[in-house]
Amino acid sequence: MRATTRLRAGLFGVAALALACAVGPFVLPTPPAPDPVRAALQPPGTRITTVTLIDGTAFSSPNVTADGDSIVIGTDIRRRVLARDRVASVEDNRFWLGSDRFGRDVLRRLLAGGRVSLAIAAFAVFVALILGSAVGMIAASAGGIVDALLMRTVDALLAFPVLFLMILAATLFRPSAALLVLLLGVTSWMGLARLVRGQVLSLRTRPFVLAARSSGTRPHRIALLHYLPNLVGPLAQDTALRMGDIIIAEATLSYLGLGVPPSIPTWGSMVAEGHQVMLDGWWLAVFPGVAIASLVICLALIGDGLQRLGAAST
Amino acid sequence: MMRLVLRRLITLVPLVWLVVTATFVVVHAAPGSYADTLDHPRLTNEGRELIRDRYGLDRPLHQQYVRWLRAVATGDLGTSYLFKEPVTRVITRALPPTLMLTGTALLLDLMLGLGIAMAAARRPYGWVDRVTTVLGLGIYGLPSFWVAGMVILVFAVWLGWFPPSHMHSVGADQLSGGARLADLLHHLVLPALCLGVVGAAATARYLRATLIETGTSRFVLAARARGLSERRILWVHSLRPALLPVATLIGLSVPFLVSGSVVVESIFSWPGMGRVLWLSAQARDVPVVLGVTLVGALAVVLGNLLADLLYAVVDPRVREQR
Repeated sequence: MRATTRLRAGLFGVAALALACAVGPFVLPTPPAPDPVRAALQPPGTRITTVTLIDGTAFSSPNVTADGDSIVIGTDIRRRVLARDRVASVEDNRFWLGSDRFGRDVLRRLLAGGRVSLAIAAFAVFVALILGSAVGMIAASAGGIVDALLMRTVDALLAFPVLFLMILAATLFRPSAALLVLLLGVTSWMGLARLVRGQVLSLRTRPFVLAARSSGTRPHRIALLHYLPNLVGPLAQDTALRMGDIIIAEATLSYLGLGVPPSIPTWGSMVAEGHQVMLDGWWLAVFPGVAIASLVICLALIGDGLQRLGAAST
Repeated sequence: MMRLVLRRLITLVPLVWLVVTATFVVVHAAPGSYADTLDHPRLTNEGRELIRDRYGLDRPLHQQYVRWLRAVATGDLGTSYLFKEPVTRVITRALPPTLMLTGTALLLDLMLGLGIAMAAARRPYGWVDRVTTVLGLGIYGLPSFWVAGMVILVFAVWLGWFPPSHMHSVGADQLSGGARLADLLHHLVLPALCLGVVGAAATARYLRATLIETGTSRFVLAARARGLSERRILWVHSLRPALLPVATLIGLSVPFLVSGSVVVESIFSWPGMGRVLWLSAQARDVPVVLGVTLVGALAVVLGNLLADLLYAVVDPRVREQR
């Protein structure tokens, strides 16, 4: 694949996933009341009919048949016969990705979970970007002992298995969403710091920076107006790949029950739930995993495409 | 060479100390202690106090720290709260299963990665290259916990070819030596596959790039000009320099070899280091958490050293420089 094709495919994929998660819950018809007895663990594509009674109680089941003056819900011992004059509405819903063991629509939960995963990853990347750029720029501009100290710290932190530390910290602190963002961000900035430092060191000697410095421009203005715009390219490429790692890390923590509180669905915790009922419903674990993988692959395509474009232009 | 090793060994000490101290602070900064994780219905508050007192959990932090550090200096990692035995014994028991699993996985990773890279680099951008690149990218995006679940579902549940978890079958200790080994290997297949195949995707991607890069170098051009077959050029001339990074990869894999994988070991109930860390972190078993971190930190530093040394051994140019 050519660089631009990769980049386009990746950008399109990420945008499509993000858009689906953002607007999906509004566009999809309102979910029927979950019925853990009759509508649980239905395979993908099942049509679930929700019968709402006049008094407000609702029943959802894949098997609803009309039988003369009554409506029959379910087939086996759980079947229920209702007189038609008690029924307020009958509504069909297609569960494209099946239902979970509480009778909830997997597609809807997948989109809701994607919002959480995407938001956490985006904020965590932001934290990592800020930390990495700051440390990299400070190290490069200060030089000497500060540089050596900061970079040795980066080396030491880079050497340690990040997931190991993350799991340890998350087990001990049981993070909220905000703490999770911080945890993921704080463990992913080291590579960025190295990258920024290298770039700034090479930018420092370029004529336009020398000109700015000799005309008395203040250091923070040089950092913001001269370094930062030139860092965007290399940073974007690195950030795309890093975001993929962060998404996998977040999913792993959620899978282990260490992510955001269990009441909020995320892709990782949905896989965990799916594994608990793996024998009764393969689709529960499969779809969130596919969602994670496609997002990470699209991000990798963006990173790859940017890298090739960068290599081609120099 | 000797001086390099010595210098690196000396810098090793503060680094390991830093990591272990940081872990000590983090573990103690977290709310709750081992005494709070116990939930026996007949355990009274006085009982909890007694446990706190016995394990020294109520002492000031710096006292606990100094006490622990002093013990470590004499090779004593303390006694596990959870497993009720010396931490060194917990670790020496968890290490062989982890080494067996990660060693097999690493072997699989390198063989598969190298094989795929060789096949792909034979004709860059040919169909083999395209297919393996796309497959590799696909596997790279898969989270390991998901792969583990799918592998169990397909190969253990649907096909029934391999056992889904644990190291031995029930009653395996009754078996003879050979049958016991076969049983163990049978259990090893799925977790090793999980770790190895995901790793192989990254290895293949990396090696493919180096192989193609050496393929354009001047000594390969010279070999081709002398009329050597493409096969010989790939296997002899391109492969050797491309293998250099493999030495680094092996060195950098030491921490993985020793620490294992929390996720895969937990899913497959493999009694290794990752699982020990997982259990001990949940139970606030501080001595074990610190012990496992210490071993992990040592592995990182020694692995980095090994990577450098291996590189110097296989690459004469590096050796000359030093």
